[in-house]
Amino acid sequence: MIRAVGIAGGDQDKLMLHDGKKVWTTSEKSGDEWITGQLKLVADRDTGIRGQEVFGDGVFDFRYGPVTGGIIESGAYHLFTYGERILCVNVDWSYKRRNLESSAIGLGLQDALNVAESVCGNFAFSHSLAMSRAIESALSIEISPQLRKVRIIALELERVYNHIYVISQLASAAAQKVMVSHLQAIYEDLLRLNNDFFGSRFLRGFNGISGTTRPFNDEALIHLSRRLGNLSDRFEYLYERALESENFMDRLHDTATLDSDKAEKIGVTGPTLRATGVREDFRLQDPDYEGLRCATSQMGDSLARMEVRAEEVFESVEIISDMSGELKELRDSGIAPGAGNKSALDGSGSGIGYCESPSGLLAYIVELQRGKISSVYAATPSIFGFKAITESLLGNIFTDFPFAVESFGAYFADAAR
Amino acid sequence: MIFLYLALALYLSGVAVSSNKELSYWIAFAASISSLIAGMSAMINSFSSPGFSIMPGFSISVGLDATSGVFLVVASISYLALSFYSVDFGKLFSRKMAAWFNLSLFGMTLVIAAQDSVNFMIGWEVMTIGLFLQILERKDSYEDAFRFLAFGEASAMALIIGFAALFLSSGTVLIKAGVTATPFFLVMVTLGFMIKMDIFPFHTWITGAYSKAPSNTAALLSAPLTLMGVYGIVRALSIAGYSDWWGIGVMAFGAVSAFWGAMQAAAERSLKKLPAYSTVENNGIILTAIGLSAMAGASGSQPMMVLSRFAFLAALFVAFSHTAAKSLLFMSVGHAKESLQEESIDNVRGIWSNVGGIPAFGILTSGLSFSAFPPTIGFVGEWMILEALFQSYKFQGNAQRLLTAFAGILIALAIGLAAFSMIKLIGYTALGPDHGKKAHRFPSLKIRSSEVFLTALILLSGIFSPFLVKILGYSNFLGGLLAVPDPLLILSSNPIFGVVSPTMFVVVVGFLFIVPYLIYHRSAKKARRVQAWNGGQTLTEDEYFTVPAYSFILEYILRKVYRTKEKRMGYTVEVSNKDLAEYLYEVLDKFVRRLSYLVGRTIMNGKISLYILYIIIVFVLAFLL
Amino acid sequence: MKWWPFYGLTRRLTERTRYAKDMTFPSASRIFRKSLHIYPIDVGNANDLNFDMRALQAPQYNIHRFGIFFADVPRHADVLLVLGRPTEKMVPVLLETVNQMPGPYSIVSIESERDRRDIESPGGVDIDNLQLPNLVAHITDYHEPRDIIAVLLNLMGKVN
Repeated sequence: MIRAVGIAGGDQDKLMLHDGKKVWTTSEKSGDEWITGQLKLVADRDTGIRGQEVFGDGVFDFRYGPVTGGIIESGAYHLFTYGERILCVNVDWSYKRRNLESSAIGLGLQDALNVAESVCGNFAFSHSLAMSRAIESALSIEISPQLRKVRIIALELERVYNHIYVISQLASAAAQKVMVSHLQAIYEDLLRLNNDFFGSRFLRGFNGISGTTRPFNDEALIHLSRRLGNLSDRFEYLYERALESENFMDRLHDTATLDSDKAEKIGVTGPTLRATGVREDFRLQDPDYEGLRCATSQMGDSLARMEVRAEEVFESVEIISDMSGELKELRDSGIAPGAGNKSALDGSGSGIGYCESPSGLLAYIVELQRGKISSVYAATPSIFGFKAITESLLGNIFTDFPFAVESFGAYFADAAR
Repeated sequence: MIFLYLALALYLSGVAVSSNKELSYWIAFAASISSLIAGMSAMINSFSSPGFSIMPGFSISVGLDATSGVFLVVASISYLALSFYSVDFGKLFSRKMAAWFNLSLFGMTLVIAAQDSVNFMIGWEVMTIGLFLQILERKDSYEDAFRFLAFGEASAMALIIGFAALFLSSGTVLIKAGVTATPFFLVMVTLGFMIKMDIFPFHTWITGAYSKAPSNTAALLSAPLTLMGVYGIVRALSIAGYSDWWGIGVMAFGAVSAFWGAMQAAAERSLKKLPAYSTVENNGIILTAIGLSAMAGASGSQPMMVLSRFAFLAALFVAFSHTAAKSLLFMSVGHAKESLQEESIDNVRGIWSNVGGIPAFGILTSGLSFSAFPPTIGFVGEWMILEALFQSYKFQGNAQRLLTAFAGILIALAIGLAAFSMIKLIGYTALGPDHGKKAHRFPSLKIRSSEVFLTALILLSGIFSPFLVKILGYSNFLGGLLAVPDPLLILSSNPIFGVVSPTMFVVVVGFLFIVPYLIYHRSAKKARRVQAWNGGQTLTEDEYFTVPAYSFILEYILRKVYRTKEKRMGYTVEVSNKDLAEYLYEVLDKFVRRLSYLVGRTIMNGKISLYILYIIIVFVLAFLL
Repeated sequence: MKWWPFYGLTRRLTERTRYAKDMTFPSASRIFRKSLHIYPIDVGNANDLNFDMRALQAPQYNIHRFGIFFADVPRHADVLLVLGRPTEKMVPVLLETVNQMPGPYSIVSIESERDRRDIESPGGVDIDNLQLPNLVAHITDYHEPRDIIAVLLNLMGKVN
């Protein structure tokens, strides 16, 4: 049985695979300590991450969780400190473990997609998309250009609301009450937008194998992109003013800094990697995303991560607008959406599917037997995000904690599965 | 008079019968009662023994006047509690301890009773040596004991020079008001007494000596010993009279010392070093008050004399509260330390449940007194010093005004930081969560009784402090206002500047809080008790907030002053601070080593001829002088 | 310099929708008529319920106008919102949290319809088997935040 270990950067060539004994990699980094580190990380992925232990006079474990007002999710951070300074971070997400991978075994394809959506509700579409791509690759199903574009719209919508959520959380940590209220209004409007056009606030139950579960109306999508443009303007207005607030910027600047070497070594992807100046994004490999700007920033701190996220919000809104237009063109030129090869759905095989989730690269590897799932493995971005958190928090002080943790966009549900 | 002789004789016999520890401490206890009576009678009628002439001009005598009577009473309260405490506590230590304990008490009593510099110096040296020998009780305490001795002898040296100057200017060894004194005398003896009062920068020996010494010795070092320094300064001032420059200088030392002691105490993690630095702070406050008193007194005008007297009253109150509360603190802390065999504040948590309620309550009461919490005596003393400093506007000169204002700032900061450190001490040790450590049991009835005695004294003397003011002879600072009946209000000036009434405070608080609480307690339903909320899980042993973490934020903010270093070596981490004053002695130490090396190489280099020459020169010089 | 209060007022973000529904469970103690403090606890949901808790604070709903506030610890809360189906490891934590609630209190369990449907043999523990005291509502068909507001308004005995 082959398992994905981790992904260095967004390049699918660097995907690492292992079966518990052997490691396959197409990366030039094969066989080095990087792999050993990744193996250890993935070996512990059911319980959490343990940092380098420290001892000394007065060092104690400041446990944050599993139930706190600060972190709504059930998981625990163990911050080792002699007061204020964070010396070692352990993350424990075993409280959230739901064994979803094994519960998917034996399920039909659409049910398996639903299970994937249950891994992490706010990345539901990303999970569903990566899983469906893996299944489609296993069964060699070609999908229609219309479906590809609709999926991109949904994926980018997910990115937009997740990024706005992260920025509102950061503003909330800095007690920017007015900004938080307005951002939450935008966030709620985005969720309602999802509900209006895809039937679910978190885009669940929409995606299917070689199709969608409900018909989509490209006329309505034009309307969607207009509403989205309005929200984006409101966000831009707030964001520009937020950047003028020294109070707010000061909390983010130089907090939880990660350099590009370290980020690549950890294997973290997404906005976290791009905020260190590395121009890596899985979407760059996708021909449908032609001309992607791929926002980057240099500093690698919480501020840089927020900047990348804000840039991506604007870019995603543009992408959605373009895709809606292209869908309309496709319809006007008379190309009907292909129904996909339904007969292939009973087949067997194995495949890998990827997608760039809001927090980084997400990969699924599935094995099918006669239309049922026989094995599934998800390499989720949050595991690497948490690793980055534990590394970058070292030496910071307690009050930096929310600014560090929220800026990575790592979620216990995503890591614990 | 007879009681003074009795006390001195009893102390000496206590040394003699030290083969029986218990008896020896009982004798010390009897002697303390005797000296207490002697002090009290001296407050009413001063007396003096007939002079005993050893040489023409060298007439020595002992005796007590009102001032020394007050100090003897204050010191005797500490002796009383400590000797009774030591009857049980002394069983944990060797027989010699009892002898040296009696010896040092003898020395201190003699210091107060001395009416001439010869007796004074004898008492001073006996006291220093007695305490030095007590510090030596524990193994590996040589270095700290010798540091104590070095500072003690430095103090003695300054005093001898000062007294010699006094003898030259007045032609008599008597130390009492009326003899002619030079400013040089005042400077030298002030230096000598300041060293004994652990004033910054002469305080560096305290951390080693206090923590190595058994707790009853540490209490002696901290409370009565520093009181001797205060007494000495008061005595010297009565000889030399008030002067402006002296007040300014002493006040600067006092205020800096108060702040420095409080600041270092705030970052301290060891059970006995924290009270040690608190001693520095309190003596700084006392010195500031005396300095203010001298500054105000020097101007001579009527309102300034009122201020001078009030500042002096403040010094007396702080000295009394410090002596009582610090004795109690060391007694309770020592009780806990010996029961649990631990050094750091972190490891003696939960004294309330594993050692007992009385030592915990002792730590609580003395800690609250040092935090200036009403109605304790410490509150009254620290209110007085701040009230006195607030009257800085009354000074004519700008230098005095500025200095007083800055001293006020430093003292206020010191009191705030003292509260910070005392909350740490109380919160972790007395009231902290019990970690299930097994306390080592020893007979402690007398230990507990002494703790109860001092606890009650601190509370009662605070509540009835207006009467204390009256007994000390400062009735003009008492009054009544609105609903407060006449003698129950302490006034900080005349005409009224600020007022406080601890007695009425207790009455009002008792009425407003305790009565409603009792009514509520009767009618309340049974409350459901749950553990502290901690993320939905029970706190494990390694999740408790530690003592270093409590003060780290302060150390980090003031890292330049604390010399805070955060070190990380592999798996181990460490935060260390260093007292800036120690750098001074390191430089001195280096210089002395280099000098002795140089001297050794040039003179004692093995050439016999050079060495003989050196001896001859020294001999001739000595002969000529 | 921006006049943010006026900016906020002119946007008219608060919506005028009727949230209250007829519910089958009785309203809680009368002391909650004017104010209700809620504390959400995640016991293993897919994180979308947590995201909706943030959405619940959005100006559109403006729950403060009903006197509903988020508490920072369960000790300050009147209603515990149990989000999701408890995983086995969260059960003792949930019980301890319930133990910390001051009386009178209510517990509302919320599970997303999708989470229940998607997993045919779900892991974790059924909250009804835990016999939590004062479990007044168990919402199994949760869709959006107004469902929660409806329950809370009902608990307060209020009709908006």
